[in-house]
Amino acid sequence: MKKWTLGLTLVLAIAVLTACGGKKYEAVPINEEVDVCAICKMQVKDDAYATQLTTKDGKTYKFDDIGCMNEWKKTNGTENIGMDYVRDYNDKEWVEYKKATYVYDASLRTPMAYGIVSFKDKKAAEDFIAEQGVGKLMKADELVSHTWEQNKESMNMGDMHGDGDMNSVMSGDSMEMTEK
Amino acid sequence: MMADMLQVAKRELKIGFRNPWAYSFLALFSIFSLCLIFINSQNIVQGYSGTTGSMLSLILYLLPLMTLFLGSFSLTAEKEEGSWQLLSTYPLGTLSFIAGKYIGLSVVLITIVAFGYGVLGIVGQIAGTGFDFETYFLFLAFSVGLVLLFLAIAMIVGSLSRNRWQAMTNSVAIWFFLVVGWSTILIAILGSLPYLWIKPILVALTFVNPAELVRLFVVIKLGGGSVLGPEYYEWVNWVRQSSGTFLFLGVCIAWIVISMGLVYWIWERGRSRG
Amino acid sequence: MKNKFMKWMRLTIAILFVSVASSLFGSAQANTTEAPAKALQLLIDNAMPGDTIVLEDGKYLGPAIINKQLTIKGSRHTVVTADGKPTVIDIRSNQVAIEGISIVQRLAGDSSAIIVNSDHVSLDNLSIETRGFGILLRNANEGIIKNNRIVWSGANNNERASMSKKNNGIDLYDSHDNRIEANEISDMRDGIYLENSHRSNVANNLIYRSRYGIHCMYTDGTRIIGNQGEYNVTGAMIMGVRDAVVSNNSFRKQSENVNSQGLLLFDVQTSLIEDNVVEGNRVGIYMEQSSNNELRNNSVLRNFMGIQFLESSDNRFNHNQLIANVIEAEALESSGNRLDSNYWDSVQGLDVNDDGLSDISYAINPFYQRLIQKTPAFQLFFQSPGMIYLSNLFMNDKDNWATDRTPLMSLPPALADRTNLPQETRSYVWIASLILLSASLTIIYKGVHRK
Repeated sequence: MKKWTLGLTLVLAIAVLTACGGKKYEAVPINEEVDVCAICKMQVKDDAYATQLTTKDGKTYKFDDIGCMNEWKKTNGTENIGMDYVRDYNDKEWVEYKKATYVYDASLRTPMAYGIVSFKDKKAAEDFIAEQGVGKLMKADELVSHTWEQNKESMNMGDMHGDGDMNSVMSGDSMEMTEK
Repeated sequence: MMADMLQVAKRELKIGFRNPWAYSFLALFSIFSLCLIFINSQNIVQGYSGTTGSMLSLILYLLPLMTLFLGSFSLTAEKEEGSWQLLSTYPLGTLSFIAGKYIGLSVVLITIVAFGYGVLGIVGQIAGTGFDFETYFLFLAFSVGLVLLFLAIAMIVGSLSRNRWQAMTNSVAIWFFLVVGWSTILIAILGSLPYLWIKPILVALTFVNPAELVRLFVVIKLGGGSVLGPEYYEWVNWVRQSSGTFLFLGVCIAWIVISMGLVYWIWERGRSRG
Repeated sequence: MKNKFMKWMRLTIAILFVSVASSLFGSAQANTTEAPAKALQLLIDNAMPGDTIVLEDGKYLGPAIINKQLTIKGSRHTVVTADGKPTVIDIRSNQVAIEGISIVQRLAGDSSAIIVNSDHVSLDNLSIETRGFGILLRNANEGIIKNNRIVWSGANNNERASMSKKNNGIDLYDSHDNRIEANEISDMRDGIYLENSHRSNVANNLIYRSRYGIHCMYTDGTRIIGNQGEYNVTGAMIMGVRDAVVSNNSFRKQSENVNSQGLLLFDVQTSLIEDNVVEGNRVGIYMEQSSNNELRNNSVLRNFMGIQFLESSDNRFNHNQLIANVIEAEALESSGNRLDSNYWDSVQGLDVNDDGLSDISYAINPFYQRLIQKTPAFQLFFQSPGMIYLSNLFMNDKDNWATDRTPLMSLPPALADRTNLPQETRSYVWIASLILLSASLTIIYKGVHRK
């Protein structure tokens, strides 16, 4: 019986040590083999659209699009979040959500069609807007009031085949989704 | 020493097959697995599916209990019937005695398992609900592994128990703890720990429970590893390769050696106290 | 070591062969094989609208832009390449047809073999080998893409690459009313990817070893019929879809990946999922945030988890067959679903009034699902004997569980074919069991009669 308790204490001790060592938050790498978006269940690609957050008890959630992370925050609240990260569009470096600069345009293609890309500095974001010719520059605090609408419908309205009605239904639905 | 050990093993074999308990377990094991085959009368038994899943559960319930009973009773009988007291007076080493006991008992138990699988295989083929060869072989190996590991525990139980009734109570308690209550107890205890501790402790404890260890090994080898989720992805990938088989064999041998050491120590102590 | 050696051996043999061949055939051979590839663009520029260009066997060099109505024909041995350009063939005119030729795209990344920017295009019987996309449709409507073979070119030399290094086989964006039929796609990222593209007809395609076989994002009225998917991460990923029909497909053996499913429905509304076979997957049918769908007469066989519903309500699930799944069903936060008349092989029903339906309902215990959602580490207990015991202890609020009120008592005989696996010869098991039986009997006999 002594051996048991000894073993258990040892295991516990190791666990305590490893847990306490990692109090500082750090972005974890994306593993495409296993990581799926916590909201939409799609594979999280190791690309510039990936985001992640770590809760205060150390659970990490990964998302394939910043819009999905926003959905998570709406459902679960932000009080328990230890740290959240987005990625720089150009070099995929992890950037703290609060410190990043964002560019939105409905025509930007992102995995879940939220149309938002992130940058580590304002200069890079402005360059991107200049290059694309479209885009609205935003800081993290401005994202709070963002509509988070998904571009579920094509941009070229001229090519729609009598889909006017459907279009209005669709945007209505996506509003409903974002407000849930 | 070798000769002594073989002598003890042969004696064990004889006692084992004259023990009515052995035949009742043999019948029980054969009948239950046949029932499963008949319930699943349409499908080939292959990979990780409902059929193999329930067979796994059945074996996990039955074999450890059978092994614990037969193994521990065999040791307490030596004490109760006074044969150990007699043997102690001969120049018979404790190690030869224990190793002989273990080998003899494992032959008895594996024979019971082999009989059950033989019947299962043949009846399954006749009934048209046969096994895929790999699955059949894996199940056989899984059962043998389970028997050998639980036999090690059974010998500890038998060494620590004074008589058959005590051995039975202890066996049932250990069986319930390792097979039935394990997940309930761990969920209750680990649930109150910080989130990041849960996985490492769970993995460490799994190595301590032969029933879980063997079960997970078979599930992964049957191709069901992905059901354990992303948390165990690296483990699963590793166990699926031959490296996993070697790890498993290594853990089994370590288990048996450590338990035998413990049993040796207990008997040696008893002997010196006379 | 061994691999390296084999590689060298192969190389040496190849060099030997080539040098022998060239010395034998001399300059005559060199003339035909090393003839400069003909520029495809030149042929197109010289053709009149409405013409048919028939290509000979041999190499043609792209990239080519087709900006007039043309038909291009050839054989498997007509190979068009683009020499490092991002697109091999760029179709910009309506009513273009390409038939029977091979196209090779060696450039990886966002490159493609064919891009279609126009309507009423027909791509038939093409053989495409690519490191980027196969066929891209951008704002291209009412096209027909059929009988094509699309493969990631690394697959031929047993290369391995992460999914993000690959691209999709057939990729539609903002393209409507297309017919995608009888294509064979393998080792790509997504086999057929549809985004913002409505009323597509995806039928009888075969997709294997890719990420998602068929992947719909924000499409309406998509018809996915009679397709087969094997060994993909997920057979069909249907997301953000309305009014789809998913029927007569078979999705088998999507079980390798920790996130594998046969069929995944996420945010799917008012759609019909009918007569599909999902067999041997990690999860047979997974449904989340989907409502008002009808799932009927699907065969859910030998999956680790048969069906899984999350936050899905008001769906109808009836006349499905769930057989030999390790866990048949899980349902969480899914209320108002109507389950009836399904065949669950684990149900011990009781039919008092003899109508073929059990009078005892079958309720799905959500305990395990709830447990692992909170603490994924507990997935280690998947179907451990103690877990089954524990789940049975938590029977309170059973009224709120997803429940089949009237489970079917027996499997409809007409479906026996669909639910059976082909029987293989298993003579080894015969031999092994005979050996085991005779060995054990011998040991018992000897053991008892040894003095």
